[in-house]
Amino acid sequence: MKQMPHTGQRRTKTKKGTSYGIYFLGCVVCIYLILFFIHPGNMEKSLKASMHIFLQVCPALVVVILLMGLMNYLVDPKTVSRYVGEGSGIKGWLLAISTGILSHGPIYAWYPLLRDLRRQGMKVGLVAVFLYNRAIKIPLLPVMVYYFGMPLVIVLSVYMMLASLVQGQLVQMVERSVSQ
Amino acid sequence: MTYKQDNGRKDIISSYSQALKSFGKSLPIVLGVILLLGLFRVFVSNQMLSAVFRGELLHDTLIGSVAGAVSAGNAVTSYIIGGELAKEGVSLIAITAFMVAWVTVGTIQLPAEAGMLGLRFAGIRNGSGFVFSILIALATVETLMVIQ
Repeated sequence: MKQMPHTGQRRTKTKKGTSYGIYFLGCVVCIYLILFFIHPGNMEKSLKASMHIFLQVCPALVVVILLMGLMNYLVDPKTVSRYVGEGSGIKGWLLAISTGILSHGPIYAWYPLLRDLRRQGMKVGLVAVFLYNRAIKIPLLPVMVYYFGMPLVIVLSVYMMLASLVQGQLVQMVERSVSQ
Repeated sequence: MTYKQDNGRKDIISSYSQALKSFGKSLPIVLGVILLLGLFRVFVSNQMLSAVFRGELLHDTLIGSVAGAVSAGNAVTSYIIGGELAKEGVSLIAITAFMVAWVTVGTIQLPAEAGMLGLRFAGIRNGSGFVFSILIALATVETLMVIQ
């Protein structure tokens, strides 16, 4: 059985990540508790709004979990390295742009999958490119066209794709210089 | 993490159990962000966002980016607010900066992004995203002026 080596460093990082999440959730719950004492009506409204968001987000979360499982099953670090790793070249950038545009659901639903792919060797610049291109939502573009017209939407989308590449390179450069 | 093996069924089960475990670790952060978004929906209205623009190009562009960066929600909301701002005569550069920052910078999601992908990564990505929102707005409107 081929397994990814579980180094002590990775375990510590995961543990740190989990406790960070619990602290973060704890802080948000504290805000709600404070709100309960000073403005219970608004706290209730906020909770209802959160529940509404959660229900909207649920399908996207399920899709992400399914993708994560599929990635674990089909993809090994070699494959990740070939398509989105250090040596992936222009193919990797194009893949990050297209998957970013095609991906659905809220951005935070994708963080766990991207974290797993990073651990398997995905280039950090490509993570940034993927996340930036999530801003280009093809199904929502007709609304933008209605308000601002087709030329603005096309020009803006092209500039956003270019900006994603610049941002990817920037993130890559900084991460590389820090790790050296 | 378990990778592709020969014994199909057991393999896919362990892959999914690994995925669930990994996602479970992220769940507190995801729930935290959703609860923050709930607060945002109640305390920040579209009218409040529109009110920060005052008709000066430089001020409005910067404010547009800031307002977009701290806002959260579906991109369509930013298009609708942008459309309303356009009717009120706010400059297209400011509106574009607002819409781009809305979808590319996530202040509310920042703790989650930092927690899962690293503080440096989240900082650079969102910081540069903020600057790019202004540059993209300028470039888009300038290009439109040239081609139209």
